[in-house]
Amino acid sequence: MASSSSSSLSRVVVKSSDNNLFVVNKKVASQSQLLKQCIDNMEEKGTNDVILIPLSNVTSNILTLVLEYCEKHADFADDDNNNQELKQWDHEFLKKFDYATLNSLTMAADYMVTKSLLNLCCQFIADSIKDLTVQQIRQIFDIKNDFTPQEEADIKNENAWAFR
Amino acid sequence: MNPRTVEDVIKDFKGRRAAIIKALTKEFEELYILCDPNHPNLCLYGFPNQVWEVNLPGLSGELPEPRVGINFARDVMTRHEWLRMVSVYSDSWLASIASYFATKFSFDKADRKRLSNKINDVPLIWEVVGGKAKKRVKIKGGCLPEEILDEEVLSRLPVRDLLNYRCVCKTWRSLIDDLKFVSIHLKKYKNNSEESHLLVMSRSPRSSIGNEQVLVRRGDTFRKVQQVQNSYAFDTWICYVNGVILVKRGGFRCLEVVLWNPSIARSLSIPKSMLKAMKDATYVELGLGYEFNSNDYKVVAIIYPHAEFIRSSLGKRYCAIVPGLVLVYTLSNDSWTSNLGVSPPPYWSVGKQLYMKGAIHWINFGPKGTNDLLHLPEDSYVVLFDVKDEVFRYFELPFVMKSNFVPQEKLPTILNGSFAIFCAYDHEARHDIWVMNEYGVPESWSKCYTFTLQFDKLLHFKSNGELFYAIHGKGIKSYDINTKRVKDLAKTYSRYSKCRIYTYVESLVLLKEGKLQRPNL
Repeated sequence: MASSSSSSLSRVVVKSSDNNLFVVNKKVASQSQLLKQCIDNMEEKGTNDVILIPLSNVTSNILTLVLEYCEKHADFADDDNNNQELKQWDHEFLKKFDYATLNSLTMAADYMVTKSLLNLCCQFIADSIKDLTVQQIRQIFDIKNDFTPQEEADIKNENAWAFR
Repeated sequence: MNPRTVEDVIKDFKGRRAAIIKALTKEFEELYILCDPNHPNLCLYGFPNQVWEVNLPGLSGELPEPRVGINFARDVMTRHEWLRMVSVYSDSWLASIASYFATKFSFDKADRKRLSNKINDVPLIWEVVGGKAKKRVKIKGGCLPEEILDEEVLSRLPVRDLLNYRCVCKTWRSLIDDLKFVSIHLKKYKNNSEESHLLVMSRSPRSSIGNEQVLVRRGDTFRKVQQVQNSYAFDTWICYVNGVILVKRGGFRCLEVVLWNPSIARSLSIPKSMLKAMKDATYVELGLGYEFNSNDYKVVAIIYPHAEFIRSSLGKRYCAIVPGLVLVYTLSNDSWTSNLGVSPPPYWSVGKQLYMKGAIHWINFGPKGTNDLLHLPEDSYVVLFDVKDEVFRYFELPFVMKSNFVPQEKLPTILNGSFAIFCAYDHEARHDIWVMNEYGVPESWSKCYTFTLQFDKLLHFKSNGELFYAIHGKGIKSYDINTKRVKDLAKTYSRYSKCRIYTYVESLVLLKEGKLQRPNL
């Protein structure tokens, strides 16, 4: 295990589920409430060791992405003026991923308690399932219709104005 | 006895795991109390015999130690966050013990693989206590935990889609109908939090009462988004809370009380059992509020059975001759109860109400207490009805606002999340906005804005500081108190027009309880 002689906790080491180590500076790590809590605990104890935080739920691929997000947001942490630029960056960041990656990223954000990333991912997914037909939703989520035709017609009738 | 085979290690692992799950679920209260942050640094131990213990580090002997100092973080985070944190630590502790054994007993590659497969077969402690062990839902080839899909994704959809998606399958229908989901949706749906749309009710001078047009308009351009089916006349709208309009029909004689959610076209006529008391009363003030602990809605009726009507330069007021009484309707029970122990203030000024932070607020003028009416000074103050406890409370106003002569008009409002009062002065175009920076603390009142603006009617005050107003012959405009920018929104407005604007809220409230409003009623 890594041990270091550095005097204050400026960095932490995060271990992914496939056992890769990532050195993360404190400001970046603080974007995750989970990591921040670990750091705060250690600082309270006054330890000088570099701490190792194992994340048994997050693979290296996904952890790399979460840390990329945290790094960007840490840069902007003290600066509200660049909100627009950051929003643009967020959008570009998410656009690249397929659904499988997006879902894993969402779960990692939830696990690491990185609320803004979780919100971002979920809003992105929500936007992509807006304004669809019931049939399309069933396809996307691989859901079997368990209503009888009569039941389905009744529900549709209740909210006739909502159906296009 | 330390384990030696893969099966032994798994048995050891499962025993410890069961112990910790017990501590984090059934016996969580006990754990919570034991982990007092004032104690020295504590650890949570789970033993192979399924017993758990909170103690100082050092109990593991040769084995890896669990996370030290879990108690320090207990009070700086929510219970839920702390629980999650402890479970994550415990998961990694169990993993480290298993890998310690694997190394110590020199498991070969096949054994190590078998061990890690077996460990991966059982859900993480974090998944169990966080309720995340639930099924995963497939989505476009990937998958998401059901909980995230419900609470984080579906809750961000417009109500129109949600009503539509109710017939996807039975699970989705019961999810969307669930009251907890309704309240989560209210918070998460983006258009609600960004206050991007307005609900605008208007009637041109030539139309008759009951022919009000209700539209959803964009907040920035005022462009029409959709038309809303409306069955309630202009002056029956009392207030708008979480997407629900409280409607009082019958004017003075309160004949019917209705809750109406225009975004899903549902309305509910409130039982008439108590209506007789209201019909015969001199004055009835109705209010609508939301109680977040029980996720319930309440209508309060403040009834003055016999009161004197006073109209003066101070506005309209009622002075109780017979003490007033309070009735409360609860949506979940669909019934009224009378609250005998609580009495409203002896004087009631007619004015707008504002719901925020679990209470309905009015600005009132008169003595607060019921005793010694003659000797109490008359003051302006804020009277609140606490929706949870069903009692009245009072906020003092800053000194310059206490006398009712200056300023002439006081409108309760919300500015950037704080309770605020918009003040208008007679014969003057000057306006002040006072903000109660710390809710409930009268010392924190401060006058944050003063500006000059000429208008005939103030239509709406949006919580970001945008003011909507109308000028006879000139139309409807908005004014931003921060940037001081004026925007022209509509060209026509005459003083004989009627117009009302609210910040539009899409919600599923009343989906279960309400009846569908058929078009062309």
